[in-house]
Amino acid sequence: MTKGGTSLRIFDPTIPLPGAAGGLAPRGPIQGKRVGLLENSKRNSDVILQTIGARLAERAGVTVAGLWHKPDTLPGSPEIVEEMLAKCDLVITGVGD
Amino acid sequence: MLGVVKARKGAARTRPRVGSRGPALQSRSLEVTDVLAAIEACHRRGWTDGLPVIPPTEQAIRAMLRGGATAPGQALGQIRSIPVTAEKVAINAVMAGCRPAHFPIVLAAVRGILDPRFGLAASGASTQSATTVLIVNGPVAVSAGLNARDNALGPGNRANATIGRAVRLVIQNACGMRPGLLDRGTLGTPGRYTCCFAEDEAGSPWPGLHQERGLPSGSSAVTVFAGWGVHQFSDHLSRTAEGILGTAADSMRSLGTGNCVGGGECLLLLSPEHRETIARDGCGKQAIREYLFAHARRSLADMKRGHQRPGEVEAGDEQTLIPFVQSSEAVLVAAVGGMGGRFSAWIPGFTSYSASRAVTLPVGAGG
Repeated sequence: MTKGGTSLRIFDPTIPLPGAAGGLAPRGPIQGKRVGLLENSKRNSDVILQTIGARLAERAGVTVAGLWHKPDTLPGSPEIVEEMLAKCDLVITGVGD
Repeated sequence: MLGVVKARKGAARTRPRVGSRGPALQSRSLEVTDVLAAIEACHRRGWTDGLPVIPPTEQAIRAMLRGGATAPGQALGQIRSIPVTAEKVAINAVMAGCRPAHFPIVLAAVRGILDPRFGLAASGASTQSATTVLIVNGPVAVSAGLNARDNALGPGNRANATIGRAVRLVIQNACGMRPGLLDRGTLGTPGRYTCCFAEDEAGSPWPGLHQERGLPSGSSAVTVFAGWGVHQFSDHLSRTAEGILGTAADSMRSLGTGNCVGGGECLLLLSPEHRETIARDGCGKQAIREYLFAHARRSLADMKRGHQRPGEVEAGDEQTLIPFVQSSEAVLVAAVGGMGGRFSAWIPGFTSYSASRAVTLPVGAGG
């Protein structure tokens, strides 16, 4: 309660999501960029990601840097993240079924 | 905005310190006209589970922190590399309706869900709609007033209802698993409102779940388990351990469950009358776990015919048996429930053993 009245002060239970304030990364031309594909073991995720990579190479002139594999849907290991940071300019991934 | 007097960013930086209160709270705050306005403000901001919450005032938050003998800045773990502090957990526990005496259990449970083995980033977000099941063992279950008997999985007990709800609100508010955003549950599940109960150690012929998982007899602990919906089964005819466990195994090898999909862990909740029959035949928890690991299996041919595995049935598939749990240790067994009905239940585990497994932690002062 605050002084002299019935009003009260309540506290925020949330923790802001990282990146929520930062928005999307800058967009620009992707021709000549190195594209990494990151699949998460969902059935056919490798097929759809490789198809997208091939289409982008064909239509947008990117280079597919490779397909990385995660054994599950948990966040990627630091090793995968470091390697993709070194070898890729942009990454395509997805979640869900 | 209706009822909101004033929002304040970083209350700690703008409020004078009061020595006896301890460190200033770091969370944003807002002033509202009265209790009903506070409840509505929480709804509007998406801080609730859809039910009304107790307004998280500083006085209530500090009482909660004292109940856990912890400082507001104490980090309990991380989600997406961001620390989850006791202060945020206390705010959510107040909102859930916990008493300060419940807070040590909430703190231990939150440490458990933030343990990387638990895999909250997946279980809290997945289309599978897993809930976080809390099983409490030891003296703290009694002192907190948790129910382990009649209706233990249902409504009617404040500790069961609010401790589970507090952890759910932490997952939603502090860990960002908000329905429709990071929580992508296809169906959701009622267990996501709350799912917490005690093991009935006093009424059990066997050691508690926490003892089986490495903690000493007489200690207090909470086990967090990511599971699907509760599968209740009836067996009013069996008068042998094998009869009851055979019924359990038959239910556990159903097509389409979490264990059929991932073959990880499962939680078996045995009621008093089933326990009495099983124990009379000389079976303990280890024998139960070994029986279910051996018998909760299904042929690859069945799995293919049931559209649980791709491909046509091939030679040898009838003889290839797929276990529905990772190992005998992946079957968690707890004594729960009331007299007057030969019902028990099992809860399928969320996805695979590598992605999510139960975590058991001691409950004590200081979170």
